[in-house]
Amino acid sequence: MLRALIIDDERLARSELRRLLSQHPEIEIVGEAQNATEARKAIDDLEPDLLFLDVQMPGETGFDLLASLESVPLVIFTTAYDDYALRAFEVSALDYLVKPIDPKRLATTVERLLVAWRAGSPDRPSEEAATDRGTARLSPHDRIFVTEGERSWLVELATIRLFETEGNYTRVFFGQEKPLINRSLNQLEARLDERVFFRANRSQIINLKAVRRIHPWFGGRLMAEIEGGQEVTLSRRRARAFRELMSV
Amino acid sequence: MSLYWKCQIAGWFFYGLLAAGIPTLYGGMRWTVALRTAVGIAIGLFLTEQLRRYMLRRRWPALPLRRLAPRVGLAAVVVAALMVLILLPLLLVNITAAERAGPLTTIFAIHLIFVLGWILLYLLYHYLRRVHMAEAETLRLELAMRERELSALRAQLNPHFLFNSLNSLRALITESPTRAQEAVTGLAALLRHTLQLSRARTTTVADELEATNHYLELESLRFEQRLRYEIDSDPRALDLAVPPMLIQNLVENAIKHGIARLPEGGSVRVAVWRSSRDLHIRVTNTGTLSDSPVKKGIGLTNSLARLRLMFGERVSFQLRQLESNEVACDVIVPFATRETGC
Repeated sequence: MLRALIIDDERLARSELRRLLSQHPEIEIVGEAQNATEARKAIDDLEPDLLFLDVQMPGETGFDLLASLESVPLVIFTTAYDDYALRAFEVSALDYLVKPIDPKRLATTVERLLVAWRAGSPDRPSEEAATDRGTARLSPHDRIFVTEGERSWLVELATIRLFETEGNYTRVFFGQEKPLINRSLNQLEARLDERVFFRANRSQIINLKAVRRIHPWFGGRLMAEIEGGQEVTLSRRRARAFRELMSV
Repeated sequence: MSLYWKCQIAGWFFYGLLAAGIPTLYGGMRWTVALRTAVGIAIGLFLTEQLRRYMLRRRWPALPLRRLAPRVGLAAVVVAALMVLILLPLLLVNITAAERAGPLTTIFAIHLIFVLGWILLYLLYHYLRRVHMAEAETLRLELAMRERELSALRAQLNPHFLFNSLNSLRALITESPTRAQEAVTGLAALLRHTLQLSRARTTTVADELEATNHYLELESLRFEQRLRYEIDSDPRALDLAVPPMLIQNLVENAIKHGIARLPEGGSVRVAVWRSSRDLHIRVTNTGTLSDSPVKKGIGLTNSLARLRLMFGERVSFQLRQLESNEVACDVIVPFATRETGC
């Protein structure tokens, strides 16, 4: 059973979606929200697996909401008109429905979603993580929402090979992209899974699964070569920690 | 390398094959033959390149056939004659009868045919390219026209509004069939107004206000208690002419930039009145003007352009922040000049 939250500023639009979803018992609607502020609170309280999210809302848009979330659940955008912002989306893994919603189109979307959900769920943060989201670390399968200019991505943490500090922001490296996110490296370190993401030095965190080669470097440091050809130096202190981690 | 130079090299290679090959068949390869061929290729390349520049400068590819044909003939004779003349010392010095592919006239004829072929191929290429480009240009123009028609339609009824209304309607059908019926009638009236007037230059204030009222009714299906509105009109203004969609576009902007951005919603007031010489339209909405330079929607820009066409530069448009968390948009249209003019 997928627990869903409906986010739309129009009451009629919400009730219409609720009515349409009543044909799909696999989806349980756990709540509704009229704007981004309400939605954030509902997401914290209810921890839904899925958001039905209207793009245009008063105040913050649906994109603003996603960008402010620490990790993003499954999302289906709903929009009245084929929105340029959705077409600009870099990740095809996400779905959107145009309003008025065609019941057949909704059925296909729900079906695809359930397949993806069941395939992904064994790896997903299980009950223990979900019970205490506030302090629990993010799983590598959690996704974050990143925007830069006109482009947006929903990035699975596991696909990020390097985090690099840049002022109060952090640059994330994945695929061919390296957008900035509005979080400090220290904030990120506190929430990332330390078995996968390793603090290499004061300004970088590397994904250990993206490390291709490691060689000794001067003064007891280590040099890690990661995918994409970048080289990251592990400071002396972190190199010691790394050796300990590896010897366990 | 460009297609032109590829063809040049292939063509003059072929020339070299002939110029060196034929005498070689008769009398064996000699250094004179090799030299002659090399010089011939060099002169040929140089002269045809000069010819190409000349033809392009004089726009030969654009000439009609009647004027082009004699020019092509003359150019071929001149270039071929020049080539043979320059080659003449090499043809006569140290020459044996067997080496000579034929008398000088034959050599000239061969060069003439070669140069003529060169020019014709070059012009044919230009001709084909022009035909192709003309087709592409036609297609591009057609596309641009269709795009313009579409954007004209789009400017008149915002697709977001249309689809959101339809979505509200779908929900209303189960929730309140009576209200759904009313909403369908309102939407139909609005669509009719838009379609009928998209071609007309003017409509009356009365018609425009009626459409605006339908529009506001439909928007309040979406916004519910978030949108409050009132329309206040001066009976003496109702018969005056306005461009179609003018008032509705002003209201649409008031909702888009005002009410839709406010989680708590707000109110929209439309006031239309007549002074001695002018028609006044004022749309007030809750909200604040953004600091960024005011971006007028396509709809509004269109309306203003039409307004200026109809009533001249005396039309005034003003957007300002009132003290009480309200934005007012004023349009003043002088009707007196038009009435005396008719």
